[in-house]
Amino acid sequence: MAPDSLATALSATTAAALAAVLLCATWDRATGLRRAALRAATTVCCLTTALAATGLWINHQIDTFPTWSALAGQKTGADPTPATGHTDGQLVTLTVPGTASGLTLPIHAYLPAAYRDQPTARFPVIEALHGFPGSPSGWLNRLAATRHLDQEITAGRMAPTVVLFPPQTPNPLLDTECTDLTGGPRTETFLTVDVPAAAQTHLRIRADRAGWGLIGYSAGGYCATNLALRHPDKYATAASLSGYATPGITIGDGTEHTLNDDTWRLRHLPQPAIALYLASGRADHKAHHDAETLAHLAHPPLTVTTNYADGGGHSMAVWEAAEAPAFDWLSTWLGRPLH
Amino acid sequence: MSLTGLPLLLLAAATAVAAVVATARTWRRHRRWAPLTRAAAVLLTETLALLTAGLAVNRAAGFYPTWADLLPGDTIRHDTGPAHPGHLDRFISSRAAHTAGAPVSFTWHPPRWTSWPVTAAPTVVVPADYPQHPTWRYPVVVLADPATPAQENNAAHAAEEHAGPAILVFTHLRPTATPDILTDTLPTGLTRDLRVTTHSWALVASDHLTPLALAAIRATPTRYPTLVLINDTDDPATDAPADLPTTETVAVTGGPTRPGDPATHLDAPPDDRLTAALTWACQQTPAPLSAPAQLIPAPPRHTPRHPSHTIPPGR
Repeated sequence: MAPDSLATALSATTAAALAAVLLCATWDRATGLRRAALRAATTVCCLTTALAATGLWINHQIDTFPTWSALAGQKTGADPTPATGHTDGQLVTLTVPGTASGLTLPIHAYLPAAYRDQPTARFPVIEALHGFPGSPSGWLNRLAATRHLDQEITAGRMAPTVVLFPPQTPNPLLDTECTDLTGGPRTETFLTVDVPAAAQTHLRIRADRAGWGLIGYSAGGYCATNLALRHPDKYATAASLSGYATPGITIGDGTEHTLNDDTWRLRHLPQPAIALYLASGRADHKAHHDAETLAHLAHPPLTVTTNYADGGGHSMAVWEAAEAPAFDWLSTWLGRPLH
Repeated sequence: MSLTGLPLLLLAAATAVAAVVATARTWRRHRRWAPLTRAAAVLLTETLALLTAGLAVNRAAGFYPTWADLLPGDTIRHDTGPAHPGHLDRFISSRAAHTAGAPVSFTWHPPRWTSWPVTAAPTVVVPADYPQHPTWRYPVVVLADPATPAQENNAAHAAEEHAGPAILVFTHLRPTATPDILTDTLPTGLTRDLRVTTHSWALVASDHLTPLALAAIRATPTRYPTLVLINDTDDPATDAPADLPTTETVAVTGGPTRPGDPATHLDAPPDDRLTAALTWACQQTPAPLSAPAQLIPAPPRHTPRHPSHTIPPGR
């Protein structure tokens, strides 16, 4: 049972209930010091199991720790089951050597069915970035990205595309916002240099800017727009699902107020000829406000398309509803597969 | 009561405190059933405490603003429907019936074309699969290059074979043309008559129309992110202009480019340069696709649907 599974969460809840029963059943047992020790132990057990159950339910929702080894702090990849249907894409895992960033991490890659059927074609690429706290498993489990990708490609709304699911942090509890933290992980370099280099080494993909895009939800949404604005020579387009305009963390060099603040960039720097897609729920006030601000500041050659769901919060439900239109939209801005 | 409102949070907190007090006060009552009543009280207290904490976090972060957001809602509905047909769709379908799976080529006579700065009416080549996919929108490759009808036809067939479908427009522009023909007049006419995308087209220009093409790209880099310059002579290829947008993808035909020149060099003999340029340009454009799925809000279900809003490049 993985720590993000429903079975684990239900088991933990059962354990919490049993711990409460145990506490009450043994409350009046024993005497003196033994009674005090028994009460203390069962109370601690009761509280611990309750908190553990809560944490596992949260992890079930946001997929921060997809494996027990990840929970233990080891850098390992998740082990999603590859799709096996003939008409479906497949999921593979490759290790990105951190030549430039110093981060060596595994990433997942979705390969469309056409990747198998057209053995000489080179495909456009989308890097899909998860939120914080979270992990790439959020895309694969809660958002069912591979199913949506298969569906959109089969329907002709999206060209066959390779989608990469890299982690945006080496530590699930460290928020990097896909930046090079001063004295910390260089995840911007990892995502913009090491991941493309490894993907080009191992996969049949387009190497040119016209074939590369970004997508992300929550913190990953900020990552997508920020990386596209900072590297327009590498990415043609980006989609943000409920992303903010600022990182909300301290990077260490003050750029959270300037070069890594997207509103600052649009106000003070020449705007690049890239296309951004900003989606959110209208009730997600911060994300909605930031999307409106970015759209207001944008001017040619930067193109901004906004798409808002009524209601909706900062939740997986909104992102799952928004991901298919976002993938479709990205595909209309990316170069086609090369035969 | 709002899921993110203070009243619900205060109510939950007060209930949790009351549960703690009640649990403490009733701890030694009902001794016969104590294990059960105590367990129920402890579990209730734990649940209320965690609920209060959860509501506080939700109020701060806005994860679930309404009750409907908490419930599993309908996911997206993929009913994009057919694209708005082009005025010439029926004409193209009838022509395609006689071309046996080959691209459909025709002379295009948009309204007031005689006032355009052209030597002849533009020639449009539509991919063979255009009639079979009435919901698809196609990218466009615009050519500002003098070529004979035979050259145009051969290049179009070769490009579709090697790069896949795109709509090709041989403009037959005069050197005196101004950029607005490429940035405004021609796109407006094409959008009306054919199912074309609104961005990510490619522009192919010969030597003597290069200044015109460069001006068009500087004016609308989103419309034309791809440029191919055809060198009709045997001279070495000229470098790509240095003042183009950094996001522009450029290729040049002719001799080898100098080291460091960001442009892609298309090595082809003079007679094949148009084909090479056209094929490369098509490869840079997006694939023809149906319209993206619509974002149908999952929660709340009772609210009316709002259209999505697109801010065009000219905003």
